[in-house]
Amino acid sequence: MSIESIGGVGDVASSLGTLAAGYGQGIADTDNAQMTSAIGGGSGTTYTGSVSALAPTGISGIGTNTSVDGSSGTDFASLLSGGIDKLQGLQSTSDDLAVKAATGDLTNVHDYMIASNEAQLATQLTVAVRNKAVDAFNEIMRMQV
Amino acid sequence: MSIFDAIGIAGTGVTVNRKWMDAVSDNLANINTATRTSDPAYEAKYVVAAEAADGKGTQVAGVVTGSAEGRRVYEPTNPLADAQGYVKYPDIDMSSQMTSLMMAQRAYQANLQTITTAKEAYTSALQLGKG
Repeated sequence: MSIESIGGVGDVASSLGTLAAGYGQGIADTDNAQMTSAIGGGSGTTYTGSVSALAPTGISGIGTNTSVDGSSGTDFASLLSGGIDKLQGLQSTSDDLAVKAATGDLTNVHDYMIASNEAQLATQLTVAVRNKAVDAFNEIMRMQV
Repeated sequence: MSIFDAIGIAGTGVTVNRKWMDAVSDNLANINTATRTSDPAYEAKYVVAAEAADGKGTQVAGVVTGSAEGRRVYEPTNPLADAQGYVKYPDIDMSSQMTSLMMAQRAYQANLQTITTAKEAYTSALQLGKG
């Protein structure tokens, strides 16, 4: 969800607001303070609303993605670090099973294949999220102020 | 296992069906195992599947064993034969075991296909918007 909100074409303004709120700096200090605060304030309020609405589902939901989404709506860094932590867990599981396969301790052949596939998919997901975020950031950097 | 639930659930199905195949393999391997009439015959193993405790997938609830009575067969030349010339063979039906084997194989393959399909779906989701 936050991938789309960051990467979405129509949501650059809210992304800008999110980024400004997330890094807690900068654009409000420039001479264009009025417009920036209007954008930042507006999207900030909307975002808080959606975060509080999302929070219960995020906590009770099974998806890590959802909970990361809910808890860090304004903080992209923790979304990314949460994803990387999960990726690391999947990869270490896969590595453990690879060692077991090599030593002959593997009871289920498919367990290793599943773990390695999950690790591969998680890697692809993380890379996709990162690419989307970098794309959005570049888009913002190209913006004429 | 939260993002890739479909894969994890299918993985439990694969595990159960592997154990089922193990049990069938054991039964077929012992189908000609003769024992003394005073000893229990080989007991056929039947895997019982149940829903997983956390509601995600399946698991082996236990293994039910068949009768230890076996079939009494008159084989006086068998070194294990008793005074009347009888030995015990396990009470296993070859054709039902082969049927179970095929069912286990098909179910195993179906779960593997679920994994493949889910992986393809996730991969195409990652391709969203790339043209």
